[in-house]
Amino acid sequence: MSDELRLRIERHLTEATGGAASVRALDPLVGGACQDNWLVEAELSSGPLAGWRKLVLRSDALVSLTGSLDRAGELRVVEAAVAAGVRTPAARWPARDLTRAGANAYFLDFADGEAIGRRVVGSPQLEAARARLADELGRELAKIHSITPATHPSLFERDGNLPQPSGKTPQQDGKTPQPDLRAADPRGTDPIGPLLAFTRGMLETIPEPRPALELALRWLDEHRPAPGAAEVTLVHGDFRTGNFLVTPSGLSAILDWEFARWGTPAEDLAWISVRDWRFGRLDRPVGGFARREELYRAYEQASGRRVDPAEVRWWEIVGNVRWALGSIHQGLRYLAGDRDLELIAIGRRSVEMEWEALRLIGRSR
Amino acid sequence: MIDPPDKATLLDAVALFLVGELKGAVADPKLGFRVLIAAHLTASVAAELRGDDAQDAAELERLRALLPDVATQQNDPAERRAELARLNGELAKRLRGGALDGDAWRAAFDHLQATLAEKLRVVSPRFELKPDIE
Repeated sequence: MSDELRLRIERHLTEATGGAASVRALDPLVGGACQDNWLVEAELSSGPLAGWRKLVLRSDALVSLTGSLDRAGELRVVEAAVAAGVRTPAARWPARDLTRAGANAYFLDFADGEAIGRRVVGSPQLEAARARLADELGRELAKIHSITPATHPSLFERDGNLPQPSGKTPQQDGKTPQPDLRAADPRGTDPIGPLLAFTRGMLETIPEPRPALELALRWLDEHRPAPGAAEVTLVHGDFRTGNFLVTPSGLSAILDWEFARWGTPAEDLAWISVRDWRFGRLDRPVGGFARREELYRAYEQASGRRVDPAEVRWWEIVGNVRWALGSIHQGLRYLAGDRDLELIAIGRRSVEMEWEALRLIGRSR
Repeated sequence: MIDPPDKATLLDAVALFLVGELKGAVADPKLGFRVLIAAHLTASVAAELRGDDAQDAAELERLRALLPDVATQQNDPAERRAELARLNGELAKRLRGGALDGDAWRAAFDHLQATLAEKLRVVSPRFELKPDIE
């Protein structure tokens, strides 16, 4: 454990809670691609959480993924989600320069449960939880989608207090600039156009031709859902098995809000069915554990919206195209010097998502 | 030319060592997972080496049929990769611009599905290729 970091955390918690704080344990957690996480066990002497607490410290990593929020932006989304009643750990005590100069960070209440995809879809201890998971997730999605540009007009607007995204961005790398999804549509008026432009930008930065992805993107462009049909709401942006915690008694918490933005509900409903997120359970189209109707029924009841399966299918193709591009870009990160074996292995798997996108297009015709 | 065993056989031997001997001796589960990734990559490169020539030839033949106006009949194996890249670039350009429709689009679609299936048999041999997944 880094003593210097521990002392800085104690100082920050003392200032934030207005009473002495001592850190008993500090352990790095396996993080995502754009944040560093630590498990912090702290004794707080005052504030609403006084006592012995398990917390997660979530900080910007050195490298950020294009289109992802930094921790300052993410904190605002989590606060809005908590206020809307979403089952997600509360975020507290934002900090800057705590883990690294220039990095934004905040603390999350610790939540228990399993997030590893293979175990969520296969563990015998979670069998009863899986039976009601689609129902629970449908209700949570309805709460997430209750947040709209009308209810939260400035959720994604950068103001003087909002720091710029930290870390390397493709622009700073000197590569072709990519459209910024949030900058393109911070007020949320068109959930489709900016997203397709962003996806096109990701394709254009790949050095080799990818005719299958060109075909898929062109097809998506020509088969857009009817204009005006797509309602604009907050979307989680990475709503899938692996990004929520499950205990034997059911859904414990929705996590990982770094891809949240204005979008349209069918996007989140589709992403969880993207083949790669079924973790081998192809016969269970929702996240590897449920039938589509279970999720849609719960969502319709809780949200009052109607789910259009054809629209969801269109977004599932978008999801496969975007994940194909995302995996290719992870492979490119390896080639650019980020020598992580998993990055280059994921890049080689992009052909799986390309196949799936074409398979779905073939079935839609 | 280096004497046998050939490249694919050597890579298979490395993959077998990684899974059969090293994996069991690694206590850290995260590192163990990375050993499996390394073994998978090594075995898939061995499969790629074995299938290379036939696969490239099949892809090139289909691309020539799709793009007769720009294809050459270049058959030098040393130039095959460059020709594949050039024709894939041309196909990508036409698809992006919407230049293919009707039967031509359908032919391109069928070619791309066949090519992806060939790649998957190398890269992800256990990937399920049946069309009717819900």
